[in-house]
Amino acid sequence: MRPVRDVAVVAFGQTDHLRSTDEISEVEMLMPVLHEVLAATGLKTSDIGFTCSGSSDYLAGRAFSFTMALDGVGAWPPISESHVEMDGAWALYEAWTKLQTGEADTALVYSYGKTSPGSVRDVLTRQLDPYYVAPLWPDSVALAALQAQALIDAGAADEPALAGIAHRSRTDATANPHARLRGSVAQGEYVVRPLRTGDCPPVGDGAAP
Amino acid sequence: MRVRVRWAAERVGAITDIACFEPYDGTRGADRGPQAHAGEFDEPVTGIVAPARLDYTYSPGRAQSAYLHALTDRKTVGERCPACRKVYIPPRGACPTCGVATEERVEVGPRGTVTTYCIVNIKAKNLDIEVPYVYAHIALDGADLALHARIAGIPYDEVRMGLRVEPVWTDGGRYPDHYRPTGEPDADYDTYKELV
Repeated sequence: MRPVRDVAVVAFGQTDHLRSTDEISEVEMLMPVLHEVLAATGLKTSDIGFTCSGSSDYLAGRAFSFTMALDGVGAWPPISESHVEMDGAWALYEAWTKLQTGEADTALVYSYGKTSPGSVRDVLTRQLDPYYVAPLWPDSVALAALQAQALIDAGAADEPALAGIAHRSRTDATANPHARLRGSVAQGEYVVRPLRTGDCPPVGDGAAP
Repeated sequence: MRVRVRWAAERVGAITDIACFEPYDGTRGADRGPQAHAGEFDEPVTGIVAPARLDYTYSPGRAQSAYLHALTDRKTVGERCPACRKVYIPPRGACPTCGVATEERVEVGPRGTVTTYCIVNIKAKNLDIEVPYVYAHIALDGADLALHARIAGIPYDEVRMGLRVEPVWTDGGRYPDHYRPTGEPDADYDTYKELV
């Protein structure tokens, strides 16, 4: 089905993605790129129809930590705003839906994550179903490995094919000066079978509006 | 491959009672296959405890680090918004109204004005303070945001809006233990009405 309205991305910004950003808070990390994007559009916060952010409070270990990041937007007097306890893609989808329904004509979407304060493979387990899954502490790599193994078992992929996806993404990343890993890296040892070091993304801190 | 549950040595009524699945060749016990179940249990589980502990290394960031460092010298340092000129205390690095970074550091206080308060009648766990006591919002001189602290050195029923107070530090304290009256005349309502 064709979307009701055409939607264009008119500006994008991205911080350098770093292993650790101890010296700055989340809002301090986000604000420079947020202002870069606003400046590129010539819009002020109050001009934007809908603002949507995606982040995980579990990374900060503090409930409602995303409200601190909102300080960098300038959300007072109140703006039309939403947050998803998720990634930037999901925030973008919510904004896209708002644009499609005509509730807004412009949207600002941003996402950020500071994984460095905790052990991300343990932290992310807390987002899972609290009764049947979270008590087992299945980490993010293990869950991805289960899916990868299911694909392999179904004959839809094999280990070289999966490695090829990671290789393609890292080759693409050579064009992005903000990426943590650029170009090919060794496939390395198994992290959680069938996934090897080279299949897994780098863990780091960063923001993108 | 056929598998069967290996139960944990100690079972508590949680998912962790399933220690793992192990290969099962069907020779131990009758392999009855799936059986119909009424979905009713004699002792339904009504709650579980799932202990979890995560350790974080908290980084307060640029603005809040500066605030905490200043507190070690018993100074209260906020940051001023370059656009609206408001002084935030404690500073978070951004003005939530203007959405811009705050950078200019401004020392505020140490004296301030009680803008509003409440009388606490319930003893808090692990807090060695006799009830009733007073908790108040205090607008430090020069600050555009009130912070909160306990008021002592005055009977609880004499605390009032406009009361002038100053911090009381204890040896080794990382922040004021409480605030006490300065003895100055009460502040005029107009001087703090924007901060209530």
